[in-house]
Amino acid sequence: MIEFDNQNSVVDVLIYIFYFITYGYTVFVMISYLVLGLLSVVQARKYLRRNSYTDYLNILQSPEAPTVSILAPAYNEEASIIENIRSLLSIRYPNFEVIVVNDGSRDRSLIKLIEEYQLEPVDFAVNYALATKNVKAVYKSKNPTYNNLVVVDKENGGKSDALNAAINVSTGDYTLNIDVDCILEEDCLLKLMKPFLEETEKNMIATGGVVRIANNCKIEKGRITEINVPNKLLSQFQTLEYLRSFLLGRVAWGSLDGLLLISGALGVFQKELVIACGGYDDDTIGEDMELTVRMRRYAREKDIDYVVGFVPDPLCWTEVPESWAVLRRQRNRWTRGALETLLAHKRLFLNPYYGKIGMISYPYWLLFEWLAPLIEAFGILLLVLFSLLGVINISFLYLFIALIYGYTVSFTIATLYIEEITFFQYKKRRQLLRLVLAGLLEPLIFHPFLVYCSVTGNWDYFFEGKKAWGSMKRVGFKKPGNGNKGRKITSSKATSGPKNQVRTSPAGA
Amino acid sequence: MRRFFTETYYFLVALEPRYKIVLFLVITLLLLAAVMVIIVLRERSRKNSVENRERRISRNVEPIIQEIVFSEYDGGEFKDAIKKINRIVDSALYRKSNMAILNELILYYHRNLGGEAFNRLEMLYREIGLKQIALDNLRTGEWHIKAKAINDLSTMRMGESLFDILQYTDHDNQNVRYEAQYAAVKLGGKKAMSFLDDLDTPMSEWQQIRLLDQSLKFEYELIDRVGTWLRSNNNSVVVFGLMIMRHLNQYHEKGEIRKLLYHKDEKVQEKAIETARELAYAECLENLYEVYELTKKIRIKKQILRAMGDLGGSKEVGFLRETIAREKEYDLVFEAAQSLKRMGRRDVLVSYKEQELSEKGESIVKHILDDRI
Repeated sequence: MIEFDNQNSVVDVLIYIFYFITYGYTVFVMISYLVLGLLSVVQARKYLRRNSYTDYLNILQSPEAPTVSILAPAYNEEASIIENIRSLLSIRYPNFEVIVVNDGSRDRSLIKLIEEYQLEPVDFAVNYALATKNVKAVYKSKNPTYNNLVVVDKENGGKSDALNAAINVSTGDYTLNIDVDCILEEDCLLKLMKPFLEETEKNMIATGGVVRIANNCKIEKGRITEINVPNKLLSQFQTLEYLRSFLLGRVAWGSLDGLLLISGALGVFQKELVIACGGYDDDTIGEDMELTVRMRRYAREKDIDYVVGFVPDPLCWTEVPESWAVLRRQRNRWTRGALETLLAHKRLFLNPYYGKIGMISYPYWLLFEWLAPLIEAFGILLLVLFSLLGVINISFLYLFIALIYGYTVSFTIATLYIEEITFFQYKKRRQLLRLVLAGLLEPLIFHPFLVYCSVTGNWDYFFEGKKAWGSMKRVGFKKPGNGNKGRKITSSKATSGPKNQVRTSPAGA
Repeated sequence: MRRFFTETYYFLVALEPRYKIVLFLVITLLLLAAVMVIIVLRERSRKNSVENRERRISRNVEPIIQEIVFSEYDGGEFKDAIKKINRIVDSALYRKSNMAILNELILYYHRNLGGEAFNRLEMLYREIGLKQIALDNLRTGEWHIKAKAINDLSTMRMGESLFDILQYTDHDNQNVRYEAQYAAVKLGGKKAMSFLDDLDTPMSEWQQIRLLDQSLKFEYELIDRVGTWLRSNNNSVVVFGLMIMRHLNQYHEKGEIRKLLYHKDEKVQEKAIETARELAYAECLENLYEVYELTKKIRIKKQILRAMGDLGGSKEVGFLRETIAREKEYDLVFEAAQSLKRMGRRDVLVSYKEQELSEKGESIVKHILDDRI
C-alpha cells in the first residue's frame, strides 16, 4: 500500500477517498445486504408457516369481501390485450371489477376490445376526483358475463394519467394497479388483500407482491403453466437480480415497514388515500415509487398510523428485455425515476418526524441504491488513474475485488437456496445449475453494465434534462412454433422489470 | 507437488496480516458458495425423495381409502384396512413424515367428499392415530404447529377435541388464537361462540369473515348472545355482532342498532347503518337524519343515503331530491340518485330540468338512468 508523505497533496486526499470508497463503503454495503437477507429469511419462513393452513375459500365465498378495482392502463397493446383481459377477468376473488384504460392507443386495441367483449358506450358520469386528460367514452359490455369489465377510452396522457382516470371511474375501496401485459396468478388478489384484512392495529395503505420473470415460461389461457429459467444469459442475470430484489430485499423492507416502492406491475392501494394525496404524479417517470413515498409521507403528516405490507409469494409474471440496448434504456429510465422521487421528497432524509422511512429507508435508497453505482464508477476511474500513476498497491486491491466477487457469488447462491426452501419455483435441476453459472458470470458482466446504465441515467437527468419516457414498441408475445398448446414468452420487448413502468404516451412525448 | 505446497505455505506465512485476512475471507466465501451449491442440490434430492414417497404412499393408500369410503365395510374389514395402511406408512426413518403425507391425503378427501364418506374418513382419522398426533402437536408444538393441529382437528370435525381447543381461543399468539376461535365455531356451533363475550383482543376482518362463513352454516336459530356482543368494548366484536345480525336475520336486538349509529368508531357506525338497512329497520330513519347532519365522513353519509333508498318513503324522496340538487360531493349526489332509482322513482330523476342541476349532477342522473351500467 502507498506510504503517505507529510504533504497533504491532492493525490493523497484522492487516495484516502479511494480507500474509503473501496473498503469502507463496500464492507458497509455487504453488511447491509447480509442483514436484509437474514431478515427476509425469517420473514419468508414466518409467512410460509402462517399460510401453510390458510383456506382462501372462506373469503372467496364471502359477501363481506371488500370490492377491488383492477386498473389496467393500456397503450398500443393490441397484440396481447384480449388474452390479458381474459386472464384478469378470471381472477379468483368474489368482488372485483376490471377497468381497462385505452390511453389514446394508435393501434387497434380499442376496436379489438369492442369486438371481443361486445362493448357499447354508456352514459358514465366520470368523477374527476383526480385531474386527467379528457375521457372520450366509457364502455360496458352487452354481455352480462363481462358485467365487471369497464373500458375507458381517453386522450393520451401517459401511464400515470391513465391510472388516475381508472381511479376516477373505479367503485372499489381498493385498487389493484397492474401492467396490462403482466400475467397474474389466479389467487393473486386473495393473497394481496389478506394483509389488508388481517391488520388490526394500523391502517394498511398498500401492499405489494413478488414479480417474477416470465421469459421462456409456458403460458396457456393467460396463465403460467410451466415455469422455466430464461434461455438467454441476459434474462438469466435479470432472474437472479429479481430474486435478490424481491425475495430478499423487498421482503426484508416489508418486514421492517420500510418499503419505498410498490411495483407498478403489482400493488394494491387504499383508494381513499390515493385520492387524498393527489393520485399518480403525471410529471414523473417513476410514478410507482413516487406514489408510494407520497402516500407514506401524507399518512405520516396526517397522523395516520399506517403500514405498508408485502406478500412474499410470487404473484405476478412479467417479461424482461432480452437485448442489451433495451435493457440499457429501461435501467436508465429507472435511475431517473428513482432520482426524481428522491429529490422530490428530500425532506424525508434523516428526518426523525417520518420515522423509519426518514431515518432508514430513504437514507438507504440514497446511499445504496442511487449513490452506490456512482461511487463504484468513481472508484473504478480512480483505480485506473492510480494504476497508471503507479501509486497504488494493486495486488491488495485485486484481492479485495476477489473478496467482493466471492461475496456476490455467495449471496446469489444463498438466494437460490432460500428460493429452494421457500417458494421452489425452478424445479428442474438443469435450470438451477444454469442459474448458478449465471451467478458466477453476473458480477463480471451484468453488474458493470448496470453501473454504466445508472451513471448514464444520472448524466441524462442532471446534464441532458431528460425526464420523459424513451420510445418503446410493443410487439406482444410470440407464439411458439407449434402454435397450439400454450405459448412461451421469448420476445425481447422493452417492458417492465422490478419497477415495471410501462410507457403509455407516444414516442417523444 | 510437495515443493509446491511448501512454497505456497511459506508464501502465505510471509503475507501481511491484512492480506491474510482478505485471502482467508475470499477462500471462505468461495468455499461457502460451493458448499451452498451442494446443499441446494441435496435439498433438491431430499424434496424429490419426499415427492416420490408421497406418490408411493398415495398410490398405495388411495385405493384403500376409496374402499373404506365407498364400500360397506364391517368392523373386521375396517381394522384390516387400517393395518394395511399402517404397514405402508411404517418406516423406521420416515414414519413422522409418512404420517404427515397420510394426514394431507385424508384431509384432501375430507374436503372433497360429503355424506357418509365424511363419517368414515373421520373414523379412519381417529383410528389410524392422526387425531392423537394432532392433539400432541397442539400441546407441545410451536405456534405454527399448534395452529395447523387445530386446523386439522376442525377440518376433520373432531368434536370431542373442542374442550382442548377452547382454551386456545385467547392464546397469546394471534395465529393460534384465530385458528382456535374458528375451530370452536366449527365444532361447537353457536354455543362455542361464547368466547366472544369477553374477548379483549381485536379480531381482524379476515377472521370475522371466516367466523361469519362458518356461522352461515348454522340452521336458522336465535343467537341470544348478539346483544352482549353489540355492547362489547371490543369494536371488532361489535362489528362481528352486526354482521351476524344482518346475515342471520337476528331481529331481536334491533334496538341496539339505534345506539350504534352514534358510535365513535367509523367502522362500527358504517356497519350499523348497513345492518339497519338490511334488516329494514325503518324506525331509525329519524336517527339517520341526525347522524347525517352530525357526521363529516363521506362514507357514513353515503351509507345513510343508501339506507334511505331502501327504508324511506315520500319524505326521504324529497331529501334525496334535495341532496342531488344542492350537494357538491360527487359520491353523495351519485348515491342519492341511485337511491331514488332503487325506490322506483325514476320519474323524479327524469323530471330534473337542466337548469336545476349542475353539469356534474346532470351527468350523474344520466348515468343512473342508464340501465346498461
